[in-house]
Amino acid sequence: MHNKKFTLFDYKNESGSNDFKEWTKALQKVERAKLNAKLDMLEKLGSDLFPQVLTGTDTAGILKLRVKGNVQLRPMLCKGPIKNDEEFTLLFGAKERDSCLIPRNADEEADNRKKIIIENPNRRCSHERIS
Amino acid sequence: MKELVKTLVAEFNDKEYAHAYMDEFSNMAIAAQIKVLREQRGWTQKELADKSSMKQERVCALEDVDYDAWTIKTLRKLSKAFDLTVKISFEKFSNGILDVSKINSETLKRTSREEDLKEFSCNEFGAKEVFWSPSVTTKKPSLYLVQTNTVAVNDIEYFEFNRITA
Repeated sequence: MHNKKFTLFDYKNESGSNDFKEWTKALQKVERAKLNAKLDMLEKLGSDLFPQVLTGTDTAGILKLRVKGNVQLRPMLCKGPIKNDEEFTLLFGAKERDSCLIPRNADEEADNRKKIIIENPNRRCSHERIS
Repeated sequence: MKELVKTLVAEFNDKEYAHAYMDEFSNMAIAAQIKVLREQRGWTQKELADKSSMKQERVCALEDVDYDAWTIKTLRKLSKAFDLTVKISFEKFSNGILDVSKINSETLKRTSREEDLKEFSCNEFGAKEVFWSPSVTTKKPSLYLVQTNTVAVNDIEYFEFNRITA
């Protein structure tokens, strides 16, 4: 009884390593737990049941996942980009302070990565969970 | 589903991680349930606000998955508006893990008091249970003896799934 609604992917850099996984590794344990709780619900239900979990950014097609805490995590992701109704791809690890993304160009960087994946779908891999 | 359950069982060996994960999940679940219950009744946020003597902005905040300042008083106000009862209890982590694995908009819906009690009475106050017989060996393996007329479609699907994968 496999009831996942979406499949999660991570962006891979030129050398083939998983940047999002490395970003997650650097987080505190509590932050990783909160991030995984949100990602599990995203994978299982999409954003229908939890509409505020995903919000837009200044860059069209790039979304940020909201994870509240002492540090506001704002990983950048997109629907698809290969199968828009079935996937989310985690593109770039970012945080937010005083309503500003850290790094400030996180959404633009995520968009660049999304374009790379559209050109070459091998530049992503199945999401690697870090607990 | 089983994969996520196994993952969480392993991860929850760490107390700090387990509490942080379940805190986050329970915030999401309560916010989602308020939204699901409101939509189940066809109400707008403003209508729920009026029925629970709150401002619409407050209902909007309560439906935000990141809201984490719940009070029993607020939950009781909402339960009265929905005509439901609030059940507050301490739970084992295994129950929490099952909640994570089962959550969806259907599992969060609840029937209001009057309709619920009517169904409850019709169901002989919960006495009508669903019983499955052991499978019967026949030449046609798709045949199984069912001893009740109160079987829901979901039960049949669940039974069929387990039979196929057994």
